[in-house]
Amino acid sequence: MKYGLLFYETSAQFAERESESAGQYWGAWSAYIDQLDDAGVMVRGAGAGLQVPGSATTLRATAGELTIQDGPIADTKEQLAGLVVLEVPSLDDAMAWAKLAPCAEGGAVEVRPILPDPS
Amino acid sequence: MTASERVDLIFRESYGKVLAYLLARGFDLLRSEDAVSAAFAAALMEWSDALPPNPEAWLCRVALHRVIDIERRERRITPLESLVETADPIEPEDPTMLPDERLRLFFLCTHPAIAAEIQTPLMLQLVLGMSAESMSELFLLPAATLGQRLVRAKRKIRDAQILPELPNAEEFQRRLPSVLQAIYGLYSRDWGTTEPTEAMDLARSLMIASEGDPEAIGLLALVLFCESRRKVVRDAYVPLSEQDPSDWDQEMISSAEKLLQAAAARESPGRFQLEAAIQSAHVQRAFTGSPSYAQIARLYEALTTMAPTTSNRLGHVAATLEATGPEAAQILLSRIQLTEPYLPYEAVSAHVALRRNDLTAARKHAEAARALSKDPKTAAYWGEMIQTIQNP
Repeated sequence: MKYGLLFYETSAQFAERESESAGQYWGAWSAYIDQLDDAGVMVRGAGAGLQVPGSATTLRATAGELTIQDGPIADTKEQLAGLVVLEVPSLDDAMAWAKLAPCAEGGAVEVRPILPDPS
Repeated sequence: MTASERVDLIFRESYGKVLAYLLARGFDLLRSEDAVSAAFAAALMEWSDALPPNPEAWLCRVALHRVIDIERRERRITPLESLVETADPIEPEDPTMLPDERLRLFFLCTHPAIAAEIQTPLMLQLVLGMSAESMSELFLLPAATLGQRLVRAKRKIRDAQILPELPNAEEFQRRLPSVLQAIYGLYSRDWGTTEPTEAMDLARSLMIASEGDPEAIGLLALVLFCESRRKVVRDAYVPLSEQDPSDWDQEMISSAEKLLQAAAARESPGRFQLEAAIQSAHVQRAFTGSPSYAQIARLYEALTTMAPTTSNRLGHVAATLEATGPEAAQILLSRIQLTEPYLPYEAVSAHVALRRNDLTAARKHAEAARALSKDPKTAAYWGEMIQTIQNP
């Protein structure tokens, strides 16, 4: 069974990327990703880290009329920061990995089952 | 008992077992539910003349074939696969092995990924086969809303692949209180109606699965204490203080006492151990002639600190009435605020008022108690009480 882990960070966590503690921040993430990879639970090439929310552009069409917004879809406390796809037997396994994510403390991780292959 | 009442009873007692049996074999929750319903529908038709020798095994077998049919239709299982699945080595001949599987249903329903407010209705539905309609009043929700939430929860279990497995030790401990509460609720529900052996089996399975958690032991002890007196109130309602101790089941009491001691040895007190200890203090009357109400009042005080439910606080009032007197009991009673009419409240209030010689209040509460009695035996008891108050 495949699950997406959607990592959400607070603005303070995003800010760490450019701060003096940037080394620690990136170190924690790469250690986490290595851990997933070593355990053989991560679907390679299916995930990505995302740039800061301020770099986003949001598009919406209403009755054919396109509106373009500078910024992410909604101005919420936590913003999507990245995602990985895991292949594990059950939700419990996915949750066990999710709680180890560096953003779990302060931010959040959403575990979302991935649609099965339509075949 | 008519044939259809008998089938109803089997339905109630077996629903969760048959469902758990299918889930334990890896079948999908929603399809399994359909298969269990189909098996019960088949039973209604085929059992009109005589029941099979082992109705539960019959239901498991029919439901298993049905779920394989459903899967084959929807997912197109290859004939080879279905052959493997039907060749299940466990022919459910021995129902005593099934409660353990049903325990997994309880733990599945308490999974933290399922919204807390739907967990109890979900347990009642999956374990007892209760419909959204029949639970609507209990949870103060329109049946349609409750039905939608139940479907949502079941879809989540299926889509997110939440497995019916017993969780690891830490998670087991975290979910244990909800499961204990559910089993106790099941026991209370069945107390006046049928033989509540189901709840007793579950309590025993839980005690084993929890490797002797003191609260799980406490629950089993509590259930045994209550069971030991059930025969006494089968024909007429008799308050505990008026029962003859020689009518109690001594064997059950002695098992319960042993369990309670084993739980106490683990030195981790809790709600169910306290409730069992209160029962134990009550049955001491069988040996000493009168129970130690001072001790019972102290136990209730501890219990109301831990679990300040209205029912526990009323127990505290009743014990205080005996241990200290009506004035102290009245003070405790006046602190209880009810949101809706409640029979035990009227009953305790009537006894307190009687002891204070306030006959007007005693009569008012006794009449309210009679009006709230759903069971004719209890109503008869309060009818007599009203007579006594009027003609002392």
